[in-house]
Amino acid sequence: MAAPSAGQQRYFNVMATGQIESGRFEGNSSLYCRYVFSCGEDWSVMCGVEEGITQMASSSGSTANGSVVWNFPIDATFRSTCPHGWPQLVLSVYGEDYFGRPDMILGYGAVHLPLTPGRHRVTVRTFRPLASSLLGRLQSWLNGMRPEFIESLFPAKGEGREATSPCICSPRPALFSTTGMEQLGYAVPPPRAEGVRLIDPLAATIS
Amino acid sequence: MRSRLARGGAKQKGDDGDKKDDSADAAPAVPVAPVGDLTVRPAPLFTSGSKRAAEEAVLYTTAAHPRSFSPLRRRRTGLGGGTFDDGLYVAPLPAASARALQTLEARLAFAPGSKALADGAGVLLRQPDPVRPVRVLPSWLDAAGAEPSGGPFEVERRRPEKWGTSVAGTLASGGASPRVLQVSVGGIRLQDHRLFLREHELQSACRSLVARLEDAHERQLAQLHALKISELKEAVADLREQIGGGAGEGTTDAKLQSRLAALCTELLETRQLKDEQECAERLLARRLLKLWHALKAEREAQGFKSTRARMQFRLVEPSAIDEEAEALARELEEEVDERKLAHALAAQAAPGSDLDEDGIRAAIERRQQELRRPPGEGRLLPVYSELATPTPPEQLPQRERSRQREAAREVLYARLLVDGRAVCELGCGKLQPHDMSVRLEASIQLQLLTRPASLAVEVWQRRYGGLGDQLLGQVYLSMPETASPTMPHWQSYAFTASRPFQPLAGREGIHEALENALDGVQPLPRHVVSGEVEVSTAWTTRPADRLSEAGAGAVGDLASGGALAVDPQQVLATVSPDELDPNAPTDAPLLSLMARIDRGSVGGIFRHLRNAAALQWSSSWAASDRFSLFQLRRKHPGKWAQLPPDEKAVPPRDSLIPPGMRQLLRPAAEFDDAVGRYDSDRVAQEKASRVKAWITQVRARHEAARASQRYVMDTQDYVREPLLEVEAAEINCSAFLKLLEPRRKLLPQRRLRKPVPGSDSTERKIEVVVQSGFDLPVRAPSNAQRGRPKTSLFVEVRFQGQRFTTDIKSGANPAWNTILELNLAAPGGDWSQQAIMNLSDEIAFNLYDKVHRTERDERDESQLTVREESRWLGGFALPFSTLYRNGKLEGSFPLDTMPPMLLGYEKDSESRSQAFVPASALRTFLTINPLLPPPKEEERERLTTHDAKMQEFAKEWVKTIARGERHVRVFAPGADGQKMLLCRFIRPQNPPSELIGNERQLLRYVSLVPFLDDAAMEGGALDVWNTSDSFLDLGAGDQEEHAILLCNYLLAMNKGSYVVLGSGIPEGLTAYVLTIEGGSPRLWNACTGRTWEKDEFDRCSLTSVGAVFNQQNIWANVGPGEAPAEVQWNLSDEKLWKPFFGKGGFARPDVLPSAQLSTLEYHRTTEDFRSGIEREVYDALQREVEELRGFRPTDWNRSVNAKLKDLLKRFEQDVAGVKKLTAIEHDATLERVRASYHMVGLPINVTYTDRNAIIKRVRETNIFLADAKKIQFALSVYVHAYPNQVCSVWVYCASLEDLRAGSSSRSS
Repeated sequence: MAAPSAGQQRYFNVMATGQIESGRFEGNSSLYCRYVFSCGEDWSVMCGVEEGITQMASSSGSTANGSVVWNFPIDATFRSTCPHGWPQLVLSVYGEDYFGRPDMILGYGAVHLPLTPGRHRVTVRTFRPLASSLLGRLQSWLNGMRPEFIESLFPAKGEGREATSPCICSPRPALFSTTGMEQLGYAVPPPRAEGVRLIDPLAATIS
Repeated sequence: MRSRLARGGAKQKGDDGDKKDDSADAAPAVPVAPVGDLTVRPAPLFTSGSKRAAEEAVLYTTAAHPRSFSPLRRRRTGLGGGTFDDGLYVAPLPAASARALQTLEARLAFAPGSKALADGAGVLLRQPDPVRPVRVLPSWLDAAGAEPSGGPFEVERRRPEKWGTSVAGTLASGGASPRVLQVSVGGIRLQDHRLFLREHELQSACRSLVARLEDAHERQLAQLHALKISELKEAVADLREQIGGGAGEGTTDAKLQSRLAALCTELLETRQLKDEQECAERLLARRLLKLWHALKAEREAQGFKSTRARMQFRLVEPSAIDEEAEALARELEEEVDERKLAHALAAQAAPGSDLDEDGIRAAIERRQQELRRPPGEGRLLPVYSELATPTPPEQLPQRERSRQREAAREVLYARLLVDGRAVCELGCGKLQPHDMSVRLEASIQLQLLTRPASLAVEVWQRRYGGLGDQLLGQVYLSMPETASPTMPHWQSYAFTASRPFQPLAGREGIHEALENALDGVQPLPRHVVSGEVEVSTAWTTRPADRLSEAGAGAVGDLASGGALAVDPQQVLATVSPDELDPNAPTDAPLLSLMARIDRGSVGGIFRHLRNAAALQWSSSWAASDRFSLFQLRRKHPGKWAQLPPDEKAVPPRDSLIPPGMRQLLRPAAEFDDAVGRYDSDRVAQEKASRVKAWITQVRARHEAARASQRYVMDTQDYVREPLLEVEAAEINCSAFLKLLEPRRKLLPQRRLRKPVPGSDSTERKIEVVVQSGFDLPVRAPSNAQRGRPKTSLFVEVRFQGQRFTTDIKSGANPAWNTILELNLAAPGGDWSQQAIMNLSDEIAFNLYDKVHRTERDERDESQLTVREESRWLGGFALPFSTLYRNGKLEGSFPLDTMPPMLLGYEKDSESRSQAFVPASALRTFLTINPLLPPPKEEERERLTTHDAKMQEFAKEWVKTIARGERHVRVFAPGADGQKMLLCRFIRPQNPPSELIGNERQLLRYVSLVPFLDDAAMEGGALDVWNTSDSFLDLGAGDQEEHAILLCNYLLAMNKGSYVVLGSGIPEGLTAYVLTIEGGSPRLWNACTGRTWEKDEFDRCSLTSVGAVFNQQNIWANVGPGEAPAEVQWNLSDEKLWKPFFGKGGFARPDVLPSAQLSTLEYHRTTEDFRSGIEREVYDALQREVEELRGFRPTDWNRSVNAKLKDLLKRFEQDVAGVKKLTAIEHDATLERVRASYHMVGLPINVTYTDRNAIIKRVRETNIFLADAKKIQFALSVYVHAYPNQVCSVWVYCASLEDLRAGSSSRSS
């Protein structure tokens, strides 16, 4: 809801409620996921939890496509004066590796919150860095120490991509819906109909 | 094959409905579509290029293939290479592992919208593509009747690409649909080449003339002119009639007449033009004839034909001489008439001279004779062709045969460049020896998302089998204006190579021949390869669009889907459809554009770019305060950080900007006049806050530099790799060797101490060994005692509130050899490197002389009072961080704070030095036990983007010259986060005007600027080299800044000065100034104000010289010597001093822009400010002393104060080198006082930072603890002000014991 203030309106709010629905990684049956909201300088979180960690969930045999269901609720309200730096949801998925060692990074991914109010279902493709040398790759495979991004917000940023070319991709879906209203001179499209699918733009650029 | 496929496609389309029913019946239908006698089985190949190949196959063929089946049918694949039942050869599928196939299948099934897995488990069907990708020139109407391609979705395997970006990936991601630009290269026709004969050159001249003639004929200029003349003639006649008929109406008449005049002039001009055009054509034909004769002559002369050129001339017979003569005469008359008319009209408007009819007639006749074809002369129509048969090879002479063979081996090819990047090679062909031309016949289609800025074709000559290809020339292509499909249009572009070549023998005389043939037209004076290349560019539709639109059955809509590169609204504004000629070919694109606008379908793919450009130029937001706030946030993150946290968002409107941000927007306040007035708290506060603000600003800038890519970033900056962080333990082989060594009990082995990481559980001590003193003062002989009294010297060491003293020794060079142990405690138990580094505690050494004074009460002889006084003589302080950085410190530490004069003390008679101050020193040894781990550079050394190459070189350079612990560096971080070459800090800078010319005074001034250690900065060490202006403004800096400022001053005085990097005692890594005058070097310490001549270098506190730099170069000390006394100060000797720019070093850049300002600005410190400090320090000290003495009364003797103040002024003059103060003068001034008082006292000098530092120093002297009967005290404060509020504070404190008090005190 737009914050009514005396005189002129100073801010607009964006509210996001939804859930991290499910994820799927080939060959991994128990996963958990960390999420962080990343937003620009003009943005601040008014209420809600900015970051969190889901429970460890396992795929049961009944689900045909082997996806892991978390259904982890997320809820945050942002306030801003400028749409620059629109909030992004940064996800990092952890799970076991081939040898059953826990807490291995499986993939990072980021997606902007939908720009239109309404219910959205978003699929996030994830990626993770590879060791820069062959020896490093062998060692990280043997030791179970996978390279990780120093900054967990890396997927939400543009800089540094030139320095990290080797990446592995895996698909991973999440579902959440967003409501947001702004009356600050920004045109808001009408709410999208349910079932509209937004394909994450990052999936195309990081490959 | 193509036509068969096409027919099949058409048939298939008709059968579609039936087939659907079939497949519904039989569920696992094999996708075989029986079409006539063909079975087509296309399926996507799972290779990276398969999609593009498939697209191209569709693009370049007219075939239509049924793709109505799902690619996810389940069937075991057994398809290899080989023929199918229909007789088609199909290439085998590339091998793919089972795991990869599974992964693919899983991804497919998982893709949104897929229902594949609902059918149960199965295996992916892989089928090869039977359509071989063949490149054929595209034809326009191929699209008609084609089927839409692709199933419900397409499979594409993505891989990170090494080179460039994946166009396919970008395209697949949706967004703007790409446009296709087709570029075709027809052929290259050479105009000059190394292998040209004279004949070829004549031929190429022929070609160009023919092209010009053809152009003229094609445009029918002469005929058009003739037509225009007849039209104009009619119009003139009509008008004349009108004027004749309607005479009398004034206004219309005038209008008509002016129009008639205009028509007349135009008619006359057109006549002239027509004649000229005719003449030009005639001339061309004649020149061609001459050329052709020359060519034929050449052929005869050489005896063979090496070109195919053939020219035939048709002579068009004139109709009849009489008729033509008549026509000419008629035209003459007509023109004379018109001229007369024109003259009459002109005369009407402005009456003037009469018309000279005969003159006009003669002029026209002359022109006709010159330009017009004389009546009866035939018209020459040259017909040029290249159909002649050249002489067969067997009849050619040997030389010509080898030339032709050589020419046939020449290979030329074209390369397409889009936006300056090579896209591909376009065709490749051999030179045809007769025509000297190359047929390339190649075409390429470019898929473009944005309109390219430039499109160019390069012509290359292949040499040495492609190893040494040579660029012949580059031509820029014109792009069709609109991005909508247009017909290809061939255009010739001329290119010329830059390198001249040596022509074949026998071509020398060609110039004269050509000149002859061309009527004096000069050919090129030198020979370079040149020619013309034929290129056509045209927009076409994208294959998919074409297919889908064609599938919709609307070929006509193709054009409407095209986007426009021009704004149609703008076109409409400037051009109205009525003005366009529907028949003129030049207006055709505009008309089609109009038609599209009318239909309302103007979609643009390049339009968003244009809008972006328009936005850029919108000036309104650039002027807004909001915009400047955004800029400020990016440029001055430090200022932004000062805002309260909930007010950091830039408001949406200018009117909503809070006052805090408005404050930031205001320009920085000028130097405040109020600072001139003195207010102690405010000054101190302001200074502290200014330094603090600077530190936060520098920190913020460094942070911002990290974020804004000013650093050259590396994978390590983003990705934590475990392998890189694991440190391999060093294998110590010497331990094994030691086991094998013979044991000698009398030769104990030194055992190295191992560092132990800090923690509260291990007790850690600072061990101090006070070894000995040098050249310490001794007591002056007094009248009361005979002989020289002995001093009782001891050293007091203080650290973290602990206090230890040594034994008492006497003499000028006492040896204590006392070991003291001080406990080391980390603040708050934090033993991290950062915390220890920030430990601001100092290890203070003070030298005292213990004086016993006995007093006997005269009335009661049994009572003897013995007073023990510790008289302070001097001291020094070591920052703990220096000890921590070095692990251990050993050496002679000069007693820095020793006053220049000590009442009652003098130099030892055996001492060689004159004064107390620089000579007296303590020899000590300090270490931490157990050792702390040596400080590690936490951040690895980064390169910044500016001069990145030089930095990288410098890194290696420093490594190669690393020798021991020598301190060498080439770059230093500047305040803005960018690394700067050291030389850029050096530049002659003007000293304050009142100090010009006196180097001692300058040294004094620089040394008085307060010192601030990098390591002691708030919030952790911050290694930043500040510029001199900022340093003076802050009034604080460390060794580098002091040294640089002094060096710059000395440079301004035309002294050859350098900055020396090295390590010294006690400060560790430090910077000194070096001057070399007449071959004798001199070292300056800009922080303490001391200098060393060459013969004093062994006593210099600089212990190791690493590098020397000035504004030109950096020299690293690579000689054997390290200490200043061992170093040869001959910088030109490359064996001892390795220059950074020079042999084996980095290539010196042309300019080294200085980081410093050319002139420094100073402001005078006001007298008000000076006296304010003086008063305040005096009051504070007086209060402090009275408090210190507690219950004992403090009796101030103010009469002595004035004398002492005079002395203090003289001290300052002495230190600044203005006028020397001798001990005799000092004693003489105090003689009268000392006649009546026993005076003990000393002067103290500090630079003014805050009064607490002064109070601390005064307390250390213990003077005010003295006690005796009727004791009085004297205190005098003098402040000498230098520019920029740099103040030297002198304090003289003394105790005065009345000699007449009758006490029989005796000191021992």
